[in-house]
Order: sequence, then structure tokens, then C-alpha cells
Amino acid sequence: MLRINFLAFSLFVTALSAGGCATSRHYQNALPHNLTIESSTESVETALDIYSVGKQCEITYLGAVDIDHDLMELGIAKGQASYLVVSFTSASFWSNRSGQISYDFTLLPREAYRYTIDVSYLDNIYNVTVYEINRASGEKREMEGGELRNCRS
Amino acid sequence: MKTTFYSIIALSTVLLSGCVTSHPQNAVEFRAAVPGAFLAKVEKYEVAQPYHEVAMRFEKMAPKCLNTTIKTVSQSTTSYQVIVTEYKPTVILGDNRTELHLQQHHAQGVMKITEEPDGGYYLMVVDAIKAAEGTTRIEYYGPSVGHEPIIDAIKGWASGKNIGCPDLTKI
Repeated sequence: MLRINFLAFSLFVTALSAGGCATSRHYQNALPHNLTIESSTESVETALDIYSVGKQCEITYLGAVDIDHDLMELGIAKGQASYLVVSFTSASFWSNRSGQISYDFTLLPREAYRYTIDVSYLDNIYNVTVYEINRASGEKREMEGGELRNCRS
Repeated sequence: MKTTFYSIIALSTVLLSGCVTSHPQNAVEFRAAVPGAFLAKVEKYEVAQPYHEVAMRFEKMAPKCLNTTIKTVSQSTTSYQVIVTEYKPTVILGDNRTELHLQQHHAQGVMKITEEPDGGYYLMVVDAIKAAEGTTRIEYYGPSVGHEPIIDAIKGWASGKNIGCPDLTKI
């Protein structure tokens, strides 16, 4: 009887996790929008996890957003670093196989700028590119790995 | 199971050919071993891209995409398997030739069968060689099956089309 109950409990927990009732919480998108996500993905679930970064590079989880629209607007705190993780999750029902691959970077949003993240996934090839755009001039430049990894490199 | 199969095949490919008892310990040995190895191939082709652009993309994309650790979970009614693979890319830039070496180390889930070089077993070596004006010759040494996402991504870096990172969970 104990074994049956344990099995039932395990199945219940597994079902909850598989059903998306995992531990991540939704990001409270309450700040003025300064980050645009443009996405084009196929056959994967895409999400962005957001953390604040302290002076000693310690991170605090702020929440996640599902990247489920082609164009999304978010507000990220200015003047302080944020650690962002874009993840692509795929699952194959027939092979009972799942996998998640992610791209992480640190962003320090500046007052006079807005940011765009281009996210794509097609034919098992993904790409995440971060741009900084001057609000006044419209000048757009791609941010490179080094400046995106101040804390973790 | 598919992951296990391909991992074993990949690790055994060079080992089993000719009944040798060790894996290549560097890129030179790897290039020499691949042509006669089971389920491995040498592929040579040219792309209509200037050499320095191909080299710059190798230098930019390899660490961005391949310097990572991947955890995959395979499950069936009778088995549950977790494989943790650490990938290590190395790009050696030259005036006329750029080498991309990719090594893999299984931190969990795959048995180590021979001496492993620092950074892991060599999985593939790709050379970009300056050719005629505006073209670059690519020479690929590596597995012939099971690693299409990496091969396709590197072809994209070489050709300048569909530039991105391979989903290493699909290997």
C-alpha cells in the first residue's frame, strides 16, 4: 500500500512538473519598457529568465517570461546589471527525450538607450543577438560577448 | 538510447578502426585517423566567402556556441539516463589557415574507454584555408552521423548563411 501511494505521489509530482507548474515565477514587467524581444522560433518552447546582479556578482531571481510572441516589450532596471538567460526547450514524446539549451549574458541598461534581443530557432540552429540602440540618434550596434559577460567571464 | 548509441559510436569510431587502443591526442593525430575510421568522414568543399570573414566567424561563433555544457535526459519504461557533456572549442587563427578543434568530455553517463586528452576527446576538426580570391576551402574531419546540428552550424559560419549556434541537445 505504501508503495502504491509513493508511486501515485511520484506520478503526481511528475505530472505537475511536466505540466508547466515548475518553480519559475512570472517576471513582473512593471518598469518602463526598454527591451524589445523579436523572435522567430519553431518547435521549441522559448523563455527568458531574468536576474538582478549585485555588486559582488551575486544574482537574485526576478522571474521568467515565455517568449511566445514575435514581438514583446519588457522593462529592465536601468543603471544596474541584469543577468538574462534565453532558453530553448524541446521535447520528443516518441523518444521520451527532452533537452534544454540556453544562452546567458549580463546586460547593464543605460539611460539614453534601448535594447533589442533577436531570438531565432530553426532547423536545430538557434541564435541570440543583443543590440544597443541610441534613443536619440537611432544608432544600433551589436553587443559582443565580452561586454555582455562582465560578471561571469 | 539514441544519445547513448551515438556517443558510443563516436567514441568508438576511431578506436575500433585498425584495432588501435588509444584515441587521437591532438588535432594532427585526429586528422590522420579519421579517413579510415568507421562512421567518420572527411569532407572538403569551397565557399564563396573571403577567408578573413570565415576566420572571423569561426573566432566569434565557436566560443559563443560551443563552449558549453549540455545535459540530456533519455527515458523509457525500462531505463532512465542522464548524460552530461562538456564541449571545448579551440580556434587557431592564421594568415592563410584557421583551425577549429572541438573536443568533448562526458562528465556523466558515458564510460571513458581510453586515455582522454586535456579538454576531452577530439570530436571534430575543421580547417578553413585561404583559396582563390574571395573563396575559402573548408576541410572537415569528424563523425558522419549523429552530429548534423554542429556540422550544419559550421557550414553556416563558413558560407555566411543561417549563422547561428547548433542545438547540442539534438546530438
